[in-house]
Amino acid sequence: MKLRKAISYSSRNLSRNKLRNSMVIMGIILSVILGGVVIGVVNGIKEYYTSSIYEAGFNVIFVISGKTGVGGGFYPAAKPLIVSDVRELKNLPDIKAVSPLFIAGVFRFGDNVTYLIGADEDLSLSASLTLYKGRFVNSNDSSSQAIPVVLGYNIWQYFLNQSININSDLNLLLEPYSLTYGKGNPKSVELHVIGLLDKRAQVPGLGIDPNNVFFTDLVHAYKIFNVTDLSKAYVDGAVASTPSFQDLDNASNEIVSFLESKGYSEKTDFTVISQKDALRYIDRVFVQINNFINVIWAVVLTIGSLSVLIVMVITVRERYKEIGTLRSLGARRSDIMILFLLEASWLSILGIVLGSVIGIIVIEALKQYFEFIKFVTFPVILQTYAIILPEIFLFSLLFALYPAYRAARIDPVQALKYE
Amino acid sequence: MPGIIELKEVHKIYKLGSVSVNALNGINLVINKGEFISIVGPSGSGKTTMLNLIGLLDRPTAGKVFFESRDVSSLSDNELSRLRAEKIGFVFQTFNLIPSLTAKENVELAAAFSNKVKDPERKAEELLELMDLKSRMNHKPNQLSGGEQQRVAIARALMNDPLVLLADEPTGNLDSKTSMELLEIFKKLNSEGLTLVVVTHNLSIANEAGRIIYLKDGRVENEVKKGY
Repeated sequence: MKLRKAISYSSRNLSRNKLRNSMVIMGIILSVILGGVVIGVVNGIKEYYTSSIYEAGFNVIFVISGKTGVGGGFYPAAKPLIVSDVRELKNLPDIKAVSPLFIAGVFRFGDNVTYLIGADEDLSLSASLTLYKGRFVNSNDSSSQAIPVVLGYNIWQYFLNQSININSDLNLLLEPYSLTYGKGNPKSVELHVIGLLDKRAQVPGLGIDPNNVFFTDLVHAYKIFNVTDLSKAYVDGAVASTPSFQDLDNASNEIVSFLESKGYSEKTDFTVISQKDALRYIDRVFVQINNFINVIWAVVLTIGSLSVLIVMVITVRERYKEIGTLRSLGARRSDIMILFLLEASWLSILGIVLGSVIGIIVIEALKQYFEFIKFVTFPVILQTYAIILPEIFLFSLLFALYPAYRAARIDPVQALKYE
Repeated sequence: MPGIIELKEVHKIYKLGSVSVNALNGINLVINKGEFISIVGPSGSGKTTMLNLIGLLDRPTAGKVFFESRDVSSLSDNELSRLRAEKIGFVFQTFNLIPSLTAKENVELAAAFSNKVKDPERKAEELLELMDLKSRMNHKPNQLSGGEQQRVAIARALMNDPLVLLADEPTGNLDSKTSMELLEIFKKLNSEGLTLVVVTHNLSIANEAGRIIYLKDGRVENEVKKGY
């Protein structure tokens, strides 16, 4: 039998038992939607985290005063890092730039919390902060009366009046808060805007969104706690960068050795997380999530394919006489098998096409209700469909093989007798 | 000159659980080109079994079936299918049309299993016109009367210009008037040279055949030639 004829003939049979065929198609549609939503969300979140880490800076190492992991949890350092030791990291062979970080307090805009963070000029280089306008803080800013600030994207774009510009002066209520210097009474502070930052990705697992930060120089940041001797001042961490991605592991080891030589213990006082560590952590986490999702997907796939199997078994049983007739007309066993496999393919293809379209609509609709689904971008959906749609099709065909084979083996004489 | 189909000492035994049923017991039959043969006999006498063997749908338990002098026992399932597609037309009591296809598509379907017909659509139209179904060719089987359905089935059986047309109780589901109309079609086809083998209970049909074979308990009890 010519394939074109077989395709046409099998497609016509879809109109028989519309309700039953609709149920199978519905099963496949649900499989596609579930696959798209579940696998798509996981792929989307992974994509988001991975790209965020890349955007965090090309070859970045975070040094945190205290013990933490990429995934969270924090234990304050027994011996906190100090500014002078952190600045010395720049002398290590594989470090290109380094800046201490000191969180000096919090500004609130409604429910939004923003941070005042002191840093060196090198931060813009080591953390790949790019300026929309103005300049980053430098050592010349330390003598100014007002606190010089570079505003994170969300602050100048959303929280403050958008007409804010460089050289604007602000008067905001600061809640002084430091892990090492404690909490102070809220006080009004004068800020002088010297730069506006571009939007940039948050570094997953590191807590603070750089778009929600007022960056200032270290002198002004410590002055809030009346700390004037910077060489002995405690830092919350540091951001260092290396000349290349390949240098990250070496540089991390150099940092650990250097800080231990200064009397800090990696076990209790500091944590070194490189961009590579963060990527490894994400891979580790997502391997587990993927394994779990794969189990769920296998169940969904099996249920969808089982519906094809069950319907095809019933269809073959119902169409014994038709099979006998086709054999009397000269159909070979292989023709019968191909016809039933094509019928299963039609069901599968219809389910896949409708499911893909409905899946995209469902995902878009869910984005309004669930924040995390926003990571399932169109490319992520396509990437997910590229995996799951062929799987659904192949599984449906695989499960249809048995009834199709049974149909092909039916004795035409018995089939013609069937009532 | 040998017949187009020959049955030599053909036996067919069916196993029904532990019981063996001798459906045919040493049948010898020669079907010559252009003959109109009717096979009659009581239920269970082996009429349909014999027709299935003639139509290469079944194989004998013992004995030989020759189709155009070829021993079909050595042919593969695919070779038998090809012979059925190209040389044999079937008509059944229950019409056996495909419900999802129109009359024309049902007729065209027969051409899908052979390469004999160059333009199946046109030929299907011609055959349906011949069967006086021109206005009904785009109707589905459930929109046709029993007589119309059987005429569609005959058109389908003729699609590949078969050597022989086999009909199993073709009037079994039709009223007497329609049965007679069908008989006229068979007679016309036979007069044009088509070999016909009809299994029937209908004596009006049987008596129109050139040869009547009476089967009983799987044996040819009597054979009447009318010199047709």
